[in-house]
Amino acid sequence: MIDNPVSAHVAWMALAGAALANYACRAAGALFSGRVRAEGEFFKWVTAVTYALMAGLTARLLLLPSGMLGEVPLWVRLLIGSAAMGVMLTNPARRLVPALATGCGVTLIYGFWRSGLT
Amino acid sequence: MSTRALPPGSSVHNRRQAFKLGVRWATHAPMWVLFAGMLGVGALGKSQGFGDVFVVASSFFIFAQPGQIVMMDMLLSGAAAVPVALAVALTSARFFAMGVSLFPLLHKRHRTWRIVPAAHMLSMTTWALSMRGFEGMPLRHRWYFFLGVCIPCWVVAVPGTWLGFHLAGRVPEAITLTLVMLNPLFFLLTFADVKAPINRWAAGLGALLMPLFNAIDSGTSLLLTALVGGTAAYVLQHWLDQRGQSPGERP
Repeated sequence: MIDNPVSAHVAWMALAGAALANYACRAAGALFSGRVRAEGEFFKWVTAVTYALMAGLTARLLLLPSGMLGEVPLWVRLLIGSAAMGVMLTNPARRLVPALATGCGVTLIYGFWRSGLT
Repeated sequence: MSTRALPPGSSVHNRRQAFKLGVRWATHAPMWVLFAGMLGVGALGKSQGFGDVFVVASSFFIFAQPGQIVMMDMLLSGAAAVPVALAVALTSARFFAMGVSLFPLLHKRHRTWRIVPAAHMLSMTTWALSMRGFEGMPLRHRWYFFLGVCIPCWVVAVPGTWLGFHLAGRVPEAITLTLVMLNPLFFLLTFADVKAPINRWAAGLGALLMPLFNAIDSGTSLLLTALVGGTAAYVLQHWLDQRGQSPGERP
């Protein structure tokens, strides 16, 4: 576990802001249900931006990680991701759990192997 | 004679049956997948050095794994509270679309003030289960089915996060590492099933731009990646759509 440089004040402010922003989107969906359509150019753009955000986050978590994942060599992280994705691509609509299990299995094997070395 | 199966919701005749059906559907697998994800959030939060109260509070008040992980990741990268809130809002935009599509399917006597607080329990899982369960179900029972689906999923979020946090470091390191890896793997795998080309390009650009923006300034990199990558994908799609509609182009 790493030392966290984030001050408690900043962290809790961020949580409050994030919780409010998150709930605002949910509440807006409830309040405007039946009055607006969720298609249209604005939502297309927002969806694209969200996908880019999630892909960027995933890239950072796997390629530029901090904490415990940062101690795992890049080639191992790529191997874990590739193994899981390989299973997923055989049938993307139905293979999420087996793919997750594969990735977790490879991670476990690596983890125990590394523990055995130290 | 038709052998087409009746929609599962058509077997419900009263609100108690609707609620119990929702609970049964949620507890079959979705609730456990969500619980496992929250274990991962707890473990990831601990590995990044956040306190247990903070990480558990994020599950209680946000109840959205992508948003929680975006928040912790950006804080660790040095982002201020406002960019964090903006980024989490982006990840939460999908809840607006879910609410807009789901709540009109309820009976109008249930579409009152009560759906505003209930919206906090909306998630990808509960939305998908509800949309499926509502098929063939009388309108007056759907609210109770929705509650049956949502309550178990929401109830396991906080204990799952707490357990993941406190298991991390107390179990063999290999298990802690696997818990920490759970959510990044889950996010990676969701990209395998993206159908719309615009969203595929957005995801590809997001993955490519992140290392570049991160090298410039890690605190703003995630937001910049999202806005630049997503907008570029949107513009590209728009340009291709216009080309496809140009006179003289073959259909």
